[in-house]
Amino acid sequence: MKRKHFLSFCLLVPLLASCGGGGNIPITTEDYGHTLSMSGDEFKILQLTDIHWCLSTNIPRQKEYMDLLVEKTNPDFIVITGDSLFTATKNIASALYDYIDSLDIPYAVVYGNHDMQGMWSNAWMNENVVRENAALSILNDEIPGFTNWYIDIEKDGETIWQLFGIDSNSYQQDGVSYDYGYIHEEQVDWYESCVKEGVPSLGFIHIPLQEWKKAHEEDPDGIIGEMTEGNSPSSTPSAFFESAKNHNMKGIFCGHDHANDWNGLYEGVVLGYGVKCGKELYYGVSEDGYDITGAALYTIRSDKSFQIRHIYLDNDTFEFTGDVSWEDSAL
Amino acid sequence: MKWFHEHEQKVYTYLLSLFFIPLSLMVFTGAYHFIGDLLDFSHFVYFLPVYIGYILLPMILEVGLYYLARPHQEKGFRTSSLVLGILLSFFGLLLVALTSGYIASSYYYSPVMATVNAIFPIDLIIYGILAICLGIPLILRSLLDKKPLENWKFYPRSKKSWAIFPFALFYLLIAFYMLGGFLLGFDYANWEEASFGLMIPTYLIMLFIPGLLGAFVIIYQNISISSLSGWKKFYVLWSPLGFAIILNLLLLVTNLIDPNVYVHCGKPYFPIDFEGSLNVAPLVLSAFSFIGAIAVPLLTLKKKEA
Repeated sequence: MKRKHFLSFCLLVPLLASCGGGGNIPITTEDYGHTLSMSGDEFKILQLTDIHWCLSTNIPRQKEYMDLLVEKTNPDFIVITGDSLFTATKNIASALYDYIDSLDIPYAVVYGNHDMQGMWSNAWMNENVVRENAALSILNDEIPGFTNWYIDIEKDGETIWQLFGIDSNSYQQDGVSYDYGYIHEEQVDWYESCVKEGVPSLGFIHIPLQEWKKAHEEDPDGIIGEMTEGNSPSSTPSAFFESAKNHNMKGIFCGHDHANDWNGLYEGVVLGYGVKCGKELYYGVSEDGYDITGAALYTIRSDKSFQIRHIYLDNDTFEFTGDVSWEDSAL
Repeated sequence: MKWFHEHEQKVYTYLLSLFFIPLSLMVFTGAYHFIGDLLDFSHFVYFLPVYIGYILLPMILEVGLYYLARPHQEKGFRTSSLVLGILLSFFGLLLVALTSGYIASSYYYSPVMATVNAIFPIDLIIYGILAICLGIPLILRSLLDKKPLENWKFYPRSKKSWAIFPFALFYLLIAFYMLGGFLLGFDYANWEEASFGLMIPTYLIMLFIPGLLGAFVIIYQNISISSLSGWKKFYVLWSPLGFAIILNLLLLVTNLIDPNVYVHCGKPYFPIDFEGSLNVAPLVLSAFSFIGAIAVPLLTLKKKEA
């Protein structure tokens, strides 16, 4: 092959190859699922969100901080709802998931808009996240987003709850600016293929849906908690809420807006924010003067009811400054 | 010592090229964390040693080596040597003092936090000591060794050339960042992403920007443009602009095919885009490739031939 033809070949082949889709690997719905057991009548889910470890993070201290939250709540499962890192390095990202895995509690992750914004490749991060105690699989599929998963919560061999993690994707180009990502149609189809009819479920995402904004705008008195910054969903609507509502999803919980700390019922589904974990990047301060930092705990029960609890832990003093809970029936 | 005197200019030239790659990796890493703090500079004090060790010292070293390897006259060489020596020693000392102070006061929670790399922040102390070890001999060289510079090639500069110094400095910073990103890209690249191929023009421009700098120092500064004639002169002078046009057209096409190409594949290189939610990467790539491609022939035409 002549040299110039070889050069053209080297440049054009990957360029053209990239215009097509990826390979078709047969993946079944079951490949996305994991099973965990409810031993008594309750199953506790600890939500850690927007941890944002970065170069300036005092890692040993932040581990102690999270230790306190875990000790206080004694969860059966930990869900990390995105933005765990921020322009960090592989060493920092490894340290975080080394720690999470060392807790010896099943965990799963949904990525936020910042999780791939660091000194690593997507593949490296996907491998880094899936450790021994991870109850999620990141598959090489055609569905948008990496972290789409579900967990069947079984009691006496029967699935009595389902948990869903849906990747809200990171960004999308919008002219000269970037808009936040959203849950795509293919993900909604995937979700519907994983739903067990009649089984109640909770959903975990990073970027709120437009319904969060609507819930606040249409019935500001109906939300319980504090809103100290605006809601920032994608400007692209998603069909996920409508589908979730029709498939017995009882609550959807997100992160993203660090300073928002509320739950509310919207069209029969509880929509809520988790509590930002730690002080990295920015955080809110409540009207009562305590920092809105800590974690959220969801207790699902065999009678199909659930409780939401927000625990506030000061990042400087390591003192618990608040602990509030709501029954789903009260929202 | 005699050997060093005979080959001193070559030594600086080789060091100038040799250091470019590792320094670019350092600048990329430093700039990455600088960008991470751009929102409010709330961690500026915390990151200060990183900025000094990873951005400032590499920049000083590369610029200083350039002036040592390309002196405009003998006096200029001694001044450059003295200034470089003082700057390296001062900032090296400052880096050692700051980092040691941060560790001693537990502001850095451990001598080996292993965040930026496996030995961070001890590496900053090592960089500081190395800078001092380079700086002191340069000061001594300038003050004590008055031997005439025999067989040196000088590069005459007009007084106006200082006017472009800040721009050249900024171009060097961008060139370092792009090369560092390109090289680390072998580790960070999302090869398995469907749109990876669309990143190729971006990678080529990331290489083109520092490449122009290299071409200018190695080729354009050493050719006698007046000895070239006709088309040859035209090709030599304007081929960088031709490359820039082709690469930018490819960049445009790939961004039109997939406007989200950087969302899928560019996050490790262009964190500033996703922090400010502004798609500035293509503009930076395009602007600096054209600036370099136009500056090289113009500076070549304007240069004073020795």
